[in-house]
Amino acid sequence: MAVTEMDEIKQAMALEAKVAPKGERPKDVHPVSKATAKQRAARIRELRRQKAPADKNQELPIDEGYSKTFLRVTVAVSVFLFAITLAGVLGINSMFDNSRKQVVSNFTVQVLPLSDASESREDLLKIVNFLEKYPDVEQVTVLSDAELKALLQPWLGANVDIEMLPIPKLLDVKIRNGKNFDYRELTVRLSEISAQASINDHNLWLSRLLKFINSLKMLAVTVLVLVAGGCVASIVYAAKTGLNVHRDIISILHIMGATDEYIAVNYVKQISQMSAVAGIVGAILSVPAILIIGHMAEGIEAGIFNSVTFGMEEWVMILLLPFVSAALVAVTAYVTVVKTLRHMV
Amino acid sequence: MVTEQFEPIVEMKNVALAYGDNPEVLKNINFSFRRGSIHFLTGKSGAGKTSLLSMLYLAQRPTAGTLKVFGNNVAMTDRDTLAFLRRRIGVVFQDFRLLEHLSVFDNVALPLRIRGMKEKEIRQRVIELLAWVELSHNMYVKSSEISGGEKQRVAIARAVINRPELLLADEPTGNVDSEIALKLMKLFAELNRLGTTVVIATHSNELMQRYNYPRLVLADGNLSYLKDTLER
Ligand SMILES: Nc1ncnc2c1ncn2[C@@H]1O[C@H](COP(=O)(O)OP(=O)(O)OP(=O)(O)O)[C@@H](O)[C@H]1O
Ligand SMILES: [Mg+2]
Repeated sequence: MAVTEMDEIKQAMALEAKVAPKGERPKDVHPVSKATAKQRAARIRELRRQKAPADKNQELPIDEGYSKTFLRVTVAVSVFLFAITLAGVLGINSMFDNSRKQVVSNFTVQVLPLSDASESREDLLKIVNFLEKYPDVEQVTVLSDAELKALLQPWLGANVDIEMLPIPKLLDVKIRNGKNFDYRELTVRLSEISAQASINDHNLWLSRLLKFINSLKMLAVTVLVLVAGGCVASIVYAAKTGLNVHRDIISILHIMGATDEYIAVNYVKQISQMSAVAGIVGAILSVPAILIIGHMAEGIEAGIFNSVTFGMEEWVMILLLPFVSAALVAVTAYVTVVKTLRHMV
Repeated sequence: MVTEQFEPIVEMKNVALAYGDNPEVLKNINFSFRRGSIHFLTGKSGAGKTSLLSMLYLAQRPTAGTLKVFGNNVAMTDRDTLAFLRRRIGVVFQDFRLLEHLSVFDNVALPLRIRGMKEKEIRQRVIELLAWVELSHNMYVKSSEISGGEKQRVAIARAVINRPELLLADEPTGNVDSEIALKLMKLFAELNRLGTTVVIATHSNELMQRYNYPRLVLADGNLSYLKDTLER
């Protein structure tokens, strides 16, 4: 829609008429200016063409300086710590999922021989019976002498009669629910049946590692909660101090008719924009740190675990953190501001 | 329309105000402002003019008595409703109270933004009004960087941009020379003629002699009414 010069003049004249209806209007009714309507219309037209600087969301300013810097650093550091911890948890998860699938579906039990051969056989039978009835055990296979012989040959030589040696018997146990299998319980129960039987170390060690890793994950979650808590606390603090510093501005906004919500939204827009930026910085800084730690972990993992598979999904989760944190900041700031404003004019 | 003429826009019944545990600054005030009226509010410095106005623009609640603004009992009105009532009131503060970190434009636009008006329409209105009060040249200057007289005009523009039903002006001519003062007074007179209820706090005798509006006088916390300046 084209605005003609004539429209503008009419508008300017209408504005004057609004304040001072024709006829009633004294000659110098205009408060400060004696410019004619036509001149003013030209001026208005020129002004409309200028671009307005866009600072309209800064009604409640968040001061540059200590508190703003503090908040930025807090958010950046929080996101950084969050990212690394999250990467750690995700990494452990993927690493462990791989190794668990592979190792935990079977384990071996070794049974030391007794001095008497028939007692030995009885003992072995008892153990096999016990294991076969044990929950989640699918199959128990006693390694035959021939198999044992084949296993031992490289060490003992071909001519040794295995029956003559106090060689332990080996049982291969297949289990169904490898993930939750309680080796410790089995160890205890097995020792009640026979003093000669022991579960293969490797699996027991793995089960302990599982427990250790689970507590490590709990620790990570605690760290995440603490970091988030610290972040929330700093935002509450920053918002409260900010509002107190700007009591006068808030009072003006209120008197102009602003609702608490209006002021809160104004503040939250600024603070969450700011923390999204700080969060992105924190997330970007975490990427090389994660890569370095991942590289170091590869050394440990060799042999026991498969690999740390860190795919697209994990990276997306980490790079979403700044926005998650900005949302956390926004909610915290909004609630704090609305609560604080309730005590102000 | 006759009933509207006598509709009270502000009603005060036995209104009193005290700051904290201090003795009452305002005592037992009974007065109603009728829609479309214009009054001077006068009294010595410290008499309580600003305090009385601050109750009318809903920044203070009376410590005793009943205050009704636009028919709403202030004591029984919730925060959000108070906010909406305030949008119908224009205030010129004694000390301007501009948002110093914002430009002249943004200060004048503030009441419209609070109302949620579209930015395009805001721009149109603000540019017009600023041209009209001759502040176009400093439109995008920070309001902390303009002169006292210019600040006063910004404060007045901000107070009237919303076409308020009630205009409360606290010493609106205190910081400008007498020529500008008289021009601003004419603006208030025109707004009043268009239906805005106006209360002007001042202790300028010159002003009150020139404009023969009814006067409210505050002394010792009591409000008395002088219909005519010349009666004194
Ligand atoms: N926020 C406040 N807290 C405590 N006392 C106050 C406050 N504001 C004003 N007073 C006191 O209330 C009394 C009236 O002050 P007020 O500002 O209303 O007077 P005034 O008539 O506007 O004066 P002036 O002509 O100097 O502007 C004064 O004694 C002042 O000290
Ligand atoms: Mg005062």
